Amino acid sequence: MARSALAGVVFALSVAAQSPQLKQAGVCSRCHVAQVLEWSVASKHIAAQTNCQTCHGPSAAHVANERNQVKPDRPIPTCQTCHTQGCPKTKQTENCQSCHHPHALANPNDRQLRQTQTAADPAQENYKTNMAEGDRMTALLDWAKAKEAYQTATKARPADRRAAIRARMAARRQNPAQPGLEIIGTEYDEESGYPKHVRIKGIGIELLLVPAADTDIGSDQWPATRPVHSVHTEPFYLSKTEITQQQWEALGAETPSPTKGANFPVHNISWADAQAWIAKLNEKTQGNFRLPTEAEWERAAQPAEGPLEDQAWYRVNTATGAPGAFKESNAYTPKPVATKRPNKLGFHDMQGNVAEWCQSILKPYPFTEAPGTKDDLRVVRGGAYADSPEYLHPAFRHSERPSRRNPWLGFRLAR
Amino acid sequence: MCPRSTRRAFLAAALAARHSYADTIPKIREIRRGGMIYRQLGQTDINVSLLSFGSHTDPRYKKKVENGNVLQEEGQTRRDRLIARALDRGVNLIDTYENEGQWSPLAKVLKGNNQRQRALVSLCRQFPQFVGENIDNAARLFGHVDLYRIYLGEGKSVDAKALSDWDVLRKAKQAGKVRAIGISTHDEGMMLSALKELEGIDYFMFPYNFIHARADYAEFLPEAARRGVGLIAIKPLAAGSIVKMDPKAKQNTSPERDFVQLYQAKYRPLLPSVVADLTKSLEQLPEETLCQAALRFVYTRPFMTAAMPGMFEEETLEDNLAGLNRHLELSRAERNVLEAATRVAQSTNQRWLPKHYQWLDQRWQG
Repeated sequence: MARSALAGVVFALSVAAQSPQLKQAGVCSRCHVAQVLEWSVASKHIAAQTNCQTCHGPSAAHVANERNQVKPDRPIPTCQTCHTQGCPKTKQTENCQSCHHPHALANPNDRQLRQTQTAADPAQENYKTNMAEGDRMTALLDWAKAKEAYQTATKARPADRRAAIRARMAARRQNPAQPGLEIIGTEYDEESGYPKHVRIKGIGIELLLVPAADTDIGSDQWPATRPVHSVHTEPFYLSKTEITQQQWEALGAETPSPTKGANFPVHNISWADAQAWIAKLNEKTQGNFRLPTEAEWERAAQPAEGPLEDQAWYRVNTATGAPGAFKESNAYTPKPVATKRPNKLGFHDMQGNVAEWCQSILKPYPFTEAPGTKDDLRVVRGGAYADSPEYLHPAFRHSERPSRRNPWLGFRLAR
Repeated sequence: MCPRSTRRAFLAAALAARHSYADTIPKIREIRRGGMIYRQLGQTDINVSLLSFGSHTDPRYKKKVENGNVLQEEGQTRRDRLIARALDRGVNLIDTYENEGQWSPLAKVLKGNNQRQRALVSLCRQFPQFVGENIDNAARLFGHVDLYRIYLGEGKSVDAKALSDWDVLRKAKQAGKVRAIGISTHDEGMMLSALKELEGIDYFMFPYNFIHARADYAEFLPEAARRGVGLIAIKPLAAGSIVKMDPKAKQNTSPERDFVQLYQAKYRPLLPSVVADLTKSLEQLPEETLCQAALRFVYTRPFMTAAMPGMFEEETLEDNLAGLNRHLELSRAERNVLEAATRVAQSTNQRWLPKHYQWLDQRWQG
């Protein structure tokens, strides 16, 4: 009896091992057999060529750690990442699991079940109507009415994040002005309602909006950048270029940089110097400026297509002598900002020229934000004019003491 | 210790410092293989042979070039042969400074065969090159760089140039171009400043011999040991001065300087009578030369990772290895314990080896 049961299990496993579902699930099916089968039954997920990593992230560290001490990059993924328009039938954008199994075992086409649920929930109808009305008003650029409709939808379902986000967006579009900033152009972020391009009044520093997103940060290349994991960043502004010496001096500060020039990045400054300057700027503009966090910096540092040399100043194009010749450290110098191509999001010199201070303290990944003390090492990103190309990789992490001034350290502004 | 201190004051300070830190520092993890001891370098995963090789330029074969000195052909051949021999005898750390023409011959010797490719390469920045470019050049030339250091001169604290150079070294280590980064200096003040100012120091290379041990580094050594930093002794024979004092050493040896000195801020020369007193307190073993005793002194310090004397002659290498082998020999107490155990076994006619080793007993009896 026992022998026949064992033979049955072996047969089932051998059939399962050959199944296309398990092959498509790849390495995950070694442990998560049940979940893979759930995902492949009564679901369009498998037909859409998705697999576990599509929702849960690459999770390289989780795969490598057989004791399950490292969790997947996105343990609880959000359905909205792919289903941006929400459910095609109910228009519901959250609580997908009230109808669907997380891995889609329940049949979403079960009309009887759906009708029972919607009939039992009048707030759902109210929500749906108001969201639709809000979307209609948004299309007509009537922000006051759109805001009202979204706010009513929020009241119908207070836990619904989507309605709250849309309400905030409509409010921002209704009154786009922000303290200390003047808007450049007419482009706005559809999701958050923030203007895409702004300038700090009186100082002239241009900032670009980086929309909210879940970004995979880190790299398997270096121990300090492992594991690759997903971090959500809210929308934020980042200065288009590194802070220049002219901008630095506009607040009455003296430039400490050895290579002088109005359009050159300010360098040879410590993290503490940058904080003091930002505090002065905030006082003057009533703004809420700061340095970017490490995750924000990496989110914004998406290199453009093409050779690195076209978009970055680094060792190969900043030397004053012949390549390969004996050189002193001062044979390499920073260059004026924005003289190379911008990156994918429009930022200049994210890689190379001067390395940039971040707000974050240096901690082992996964990324978490913590205020830190005055002695904690602060993260430095982007590589500098004297660096070789690997230090310019968007994921490469470096750090320095907050009081340290190095000739290749500068910063850019975030808000 | 001020340069004008009296002999009495010097010896008093020396004897007071004698056991102050050595006894309290935990011993470094070490392994023994093929007649050589390898010790863990600080908190890295690198094991360094207790006798390491400082490949200086032999002054007899020196040739001046635009950016430093190189060896003439004969001198180069002698050094290549000596390095190969040292590697074959278990020495695994070869140190050289960066200068025009210094690295390429060493890279050629190390790439000679697979065994020698396992050697650890220790390199140094030397002016006027940019350190970042040097590291990349070294990685291309050697295929790997295990230890890379910068030299700090004298002064009250680490200057801005050294701080920025150190930043480059840290980046290189993070990127995996270098396995361990360190400092070489002759100045205790600078060592303390480096410990305070520089992040992530893996090792120090500094002058250390039985004379220094009595008078210097009372502040630095406990702090370095507390932080788990690797310590490599350069000048373990006081730049050849101890060799000159050794009646059994080869007579034509020429030290860098004729007088014994303390390698500190002002290169303090020591009176011959002070040196004689310290030498007497060295406790030489029977038939041991002064050089061997001096090296054995460094080998037996629990906090030192390695001793790195400069070597120009094969005899010197053998002499230095002999000092190490003497250290490897069993002590009289250990021998007594073994002999007593043998006598007990013989008198009781019992097999005293564990079961899986009893075939050895049969072989001996046979």
